[in-house]
Amino acid sequence: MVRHKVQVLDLCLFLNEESFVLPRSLFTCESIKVLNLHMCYNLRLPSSIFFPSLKILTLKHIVSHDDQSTQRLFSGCLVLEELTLDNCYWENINAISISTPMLKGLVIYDLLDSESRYQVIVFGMSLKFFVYEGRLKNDYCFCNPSSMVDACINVDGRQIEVAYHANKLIKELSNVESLVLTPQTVEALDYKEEFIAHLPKFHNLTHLEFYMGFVDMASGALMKVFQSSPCLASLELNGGIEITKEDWKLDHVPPCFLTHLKTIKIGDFLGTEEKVLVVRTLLRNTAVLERMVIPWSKKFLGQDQKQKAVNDHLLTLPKGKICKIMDVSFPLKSGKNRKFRKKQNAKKSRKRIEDLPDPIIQHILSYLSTEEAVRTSILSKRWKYLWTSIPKLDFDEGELDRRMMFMKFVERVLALHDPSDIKNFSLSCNVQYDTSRINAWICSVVEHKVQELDLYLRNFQEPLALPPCLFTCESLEVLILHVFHSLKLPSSISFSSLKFLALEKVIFSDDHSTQQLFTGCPILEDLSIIDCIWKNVKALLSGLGNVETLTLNVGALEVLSYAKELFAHLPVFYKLTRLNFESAFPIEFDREALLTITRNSPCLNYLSFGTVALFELQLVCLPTYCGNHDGIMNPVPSCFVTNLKTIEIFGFCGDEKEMHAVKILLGSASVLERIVIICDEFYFEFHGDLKKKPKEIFEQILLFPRGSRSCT
Amino acid sequence: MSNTSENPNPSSSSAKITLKTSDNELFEVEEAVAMKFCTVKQYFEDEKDNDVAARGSSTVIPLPNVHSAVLARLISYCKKLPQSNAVADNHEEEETKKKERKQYGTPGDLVDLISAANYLDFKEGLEFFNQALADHIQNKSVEYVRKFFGIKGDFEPHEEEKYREEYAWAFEGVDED
Repeated sequence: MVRHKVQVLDLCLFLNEESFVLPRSLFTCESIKVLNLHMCYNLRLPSSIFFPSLKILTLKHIVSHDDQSTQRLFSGCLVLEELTLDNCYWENINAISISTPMLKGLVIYDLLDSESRYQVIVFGMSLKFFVYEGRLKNDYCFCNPSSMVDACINVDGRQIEVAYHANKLIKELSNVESLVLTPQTVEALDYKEEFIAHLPKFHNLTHLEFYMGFVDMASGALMKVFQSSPCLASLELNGGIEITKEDWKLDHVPPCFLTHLKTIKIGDFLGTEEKVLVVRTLLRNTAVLERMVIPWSKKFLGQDQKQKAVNDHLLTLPKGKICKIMDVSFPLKSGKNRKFRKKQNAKKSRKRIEDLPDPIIQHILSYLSTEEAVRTSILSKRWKYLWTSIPKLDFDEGELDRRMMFMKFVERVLALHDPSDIKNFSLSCNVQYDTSRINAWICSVVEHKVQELDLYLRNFQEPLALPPCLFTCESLEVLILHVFHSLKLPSSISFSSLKFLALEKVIFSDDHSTQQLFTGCPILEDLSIIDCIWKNVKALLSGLGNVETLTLNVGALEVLSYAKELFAHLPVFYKLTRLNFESAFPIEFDREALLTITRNSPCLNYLSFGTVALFELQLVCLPTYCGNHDGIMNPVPSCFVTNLKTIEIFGFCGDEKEMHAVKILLGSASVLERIVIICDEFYFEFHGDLKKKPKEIFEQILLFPRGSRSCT
Repeated sequence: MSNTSENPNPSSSSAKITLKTSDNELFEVEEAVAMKFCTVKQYFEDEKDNDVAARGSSTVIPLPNVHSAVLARLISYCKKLPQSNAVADNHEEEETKKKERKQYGTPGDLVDLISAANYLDFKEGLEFFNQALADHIQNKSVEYVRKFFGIKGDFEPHEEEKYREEYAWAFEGVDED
């Protein structure tokens, strides 16, 4: 990978082997820009370490025993900008010096209970942000603390040692503009009176934030920080507030309260007396406050009355002219997460969805369902009409009885859609007495140059005649009609682009127009006819010389069989390569119609016999061969000798007739490569011999003479 | 400012193109990858026409609208591209694709990736990331989407109520998460 100039490398290794050593070449890799190492084991470093391009380095759970090699690692990263040390274990180390001149961000998690003590010296001249979370048993020194802008400190520990380090650390951070602390950190700072006196002045601090737990407003350290931050403009107490001292009051109002503090936010607010007291005090003592935001605590959920009472109470508190109390009723995410997100924002120029141009948003909306896309219209004014160009509309009334709502919705969406094309339109609904409305919708999508139309119409209460414009639609490429109704066809039918046609449960009642339908599809490639009912239809499938895939069910074959004189009119399917027969009943393979179609398909290479009603036990589908007792197909369809490579049979039960059919198929298909026979599990279960029978059949089939090699 | 040490060494391979991001990072990428970005391709071809003498990849193509962190992710996406672009034809495949799309992070990351892909005129990437973003909107309430994407609702309450009624069908049965 090093050889392939890897730029981002993320290694997470859990090792047992003591002797593991990362390859030398990794440590001199010139291309690497981002390196994440996560190993629970001793990191052995080579003598030469040089990462000329490395910008971001993360070390997680690394164990290091050696002072020097660690030093080499950090000094080998010349342009490192961001360093994360996540619970690394440093042993026998006195000092870690991080001397990378370009370092902008340093993140340290240090929650391990390690006995070793060491000093961390950071020589980052351009260090901008620093995040620390841990027990602070070690000493941190920054050689150029004045560059720091952003810091986030979470100290966990109450010993004097920790207090000392915390105090020292915070002194180093006196130049930051934004500071995030935890109440524990304040406690550590509060440890001793004399430490408080040594707290620095935060000349640049404008934003102070707390998370995780209640902040003690009576804390001396906190007051000192307020007093020492003359420019503080925004204070966030996300974890909430408490007072540990009785008769707390603000003795000396910090200067920033009178001159700079504009926003206060208090989280986890429960409206108890002491908390209201804090709010009142803050309001009274802040002169330029503009906003006080108090998000409701989660604990208030369901206690609307109480919440309202507290709210009213707060609003009556005396306050400055410009101040507004706002409350937001959703619980906040933890302050820590937000802090880190903010950090990332600062790193990149983060864009928001609102910055994306309209065409992109419209593209995104096209992946949503129609309902979801329409829902975005009330996000904001900009979004109101963005959805109206989506090219795909699907409407499904479903089972629930909300018909009025549904009809209104479809109508409104179609009316508001902009003039651009509606490429896909699918409608699944009850018709009842609304044929004219539905026809109007269909006309509308035809005008929008619909390419794929899927209609599933049911529950007719009045006769339906689909609009004539549909049948001359030039843009239509895919048409699926699942309409349990007699299909009234207009006199002129011309689907000049139609390639895929599926007809399901359609009732055909007129010979002439049915023929017209098929002759009206000159470039049709794929035709499925499933469970259709044929009345008075004599001829079928004429004019379909171009289909490549044909799915027929027995109904269609019967029509053909009854009108034998029409066989002469069956076209030769020069392009037909896939032929599926479907039925809920046994398919009789010797049907003249079936054989004729097969004979008329010289290029056929796939033939399947399947079932559409597998769930009905008795109606097992199987290809049987009743007539022609000598077992010879006469004449053998030409495709059997030239092209037919795959035969699939579904719902096989293995009775005598079926076996006979398989025998004949195998015997006559001379270029066959695969025969797949899927047995009907239900049938065998039903007869209680699931295990035995298929195996027997399999063996028997293998014994059949065959024209070519085959597999089952 | 930080990149004097990062010489792309352009003469080493003729099939490499050097891209320079908004934060002055240099990326050396294979020509096949770079050509997926139509903007880069256009620039590259123009450059060729203008200067016949400058052959191969001696020029650095500036991408002032793309940040290095975003470009790195786009390139890594490019390299995985071939298998991830066919249309899913069954439910299971769709689920794996969804998972794949989820890897590309938060909506914020995705917005960055989308605007970069848009700028680079990188069609497959745009489709992929747009779909990934759409996954985040799917089945979510209006309030959630607003919060999640930082969109400020600027309708008057009665206006919003009116639209909700007009499109009542679309607002039935939405998860409130």
